[in-house]
Amino acid sequence: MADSSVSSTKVEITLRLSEFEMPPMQDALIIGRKAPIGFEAARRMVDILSPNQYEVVKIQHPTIEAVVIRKALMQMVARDRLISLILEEGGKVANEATILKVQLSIVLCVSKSVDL
Amino acid sequence: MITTVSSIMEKDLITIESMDSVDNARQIMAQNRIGCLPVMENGRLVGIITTWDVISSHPNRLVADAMTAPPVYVEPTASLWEAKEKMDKYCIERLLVVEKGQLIGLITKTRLYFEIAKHFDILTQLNKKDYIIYEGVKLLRSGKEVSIIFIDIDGFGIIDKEYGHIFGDLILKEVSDLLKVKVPTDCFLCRYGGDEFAVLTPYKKERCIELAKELLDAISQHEYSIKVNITASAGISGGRREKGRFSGNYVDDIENLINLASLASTSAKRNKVPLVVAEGFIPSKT
Repeated sequence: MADSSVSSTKVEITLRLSEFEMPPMQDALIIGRKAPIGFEAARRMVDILSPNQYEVVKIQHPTIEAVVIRKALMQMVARDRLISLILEEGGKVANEATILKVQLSIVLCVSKSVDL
Repeated sequence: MITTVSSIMEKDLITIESMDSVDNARQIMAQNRIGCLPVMENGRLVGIITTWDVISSHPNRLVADAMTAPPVYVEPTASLWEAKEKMDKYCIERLLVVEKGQLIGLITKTRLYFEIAKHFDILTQLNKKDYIIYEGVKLLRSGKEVSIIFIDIDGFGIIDKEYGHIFGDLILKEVSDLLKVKVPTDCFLCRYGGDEFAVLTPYKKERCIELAKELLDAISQHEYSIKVNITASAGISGGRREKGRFSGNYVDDIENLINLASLASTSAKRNKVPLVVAEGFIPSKT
């Protein structure tokens, strides 16, 4: 007697294409002490992907190992001020295992009065 | 001769590159049943990765981001106590051995302690001579004065023969306990041989003679558990560093001082005087 039941297995594939950001980080990265990459890997990554555009700074912090910052930002705001700002805000949400991508926008407001 | 790190180090080392992953380091350690890997970069030693580093790091990390750096190391000519001092200072279980910038070996704490135990006398609970050679070299390196008191118990063979070796051992234990109390904390005491003790001091000759007299008095005035009169003879060497007769090979220099003091103690015994100060200096072996 022939088997009357028929079975089949199908796979549904969905493709979603988007542009790979270059460089893959934006303005800054906050690297946790137990994150999948550390200071040295981050330094080599930015040196290869975006030479001379980022600085990797080792940090003395209980959960954060390093901060990667776009050098151009440091021309507008002093390096130490920028790092302390990133740590102050990022430190509230970062944990040892994470790498946080930081978007930072700096708007310079100048107001001058001149003699007529 | 003093036992050095080179005689107990492991020479067949498995290393890892700094750009390798922590996960790979873990696998290599597990396969080879080892607790650490020296980390190399372009043939240069840059750190060490231990099981603790592996446990506390993400497996995706580079070894460079998980290793302990800079590496703590000793030279192959370092003494066992120098190695121990470094391990204790840095709270580490493994110490690398580097010669002229090249990694040549590794010693583990277990192996080191096993070896150091051979230089410890169980009966008297005193170190043997290697320890005072090490401390003497440290004194010479730091520019301090060095002198040796070599103490030899008189007629100890007769005590052994009359009372038996068990009681002989008891006397040795009592003499060593006495010396441990009487020797100042800035000096170093060891059991040199059967009934011989040596004291390394950072004192000039005159102060060293005073101390030797105090020690001999303490030995002769003590009431021992078996009713027997014990006296000792002593030889003194060194304590005149300004004369500048050291060869620069500090191990040889300390060994020469010990030898001089030992000959002086024999001379004291032969001449039936408690104390003889050695005047000469035996030339270095090298």
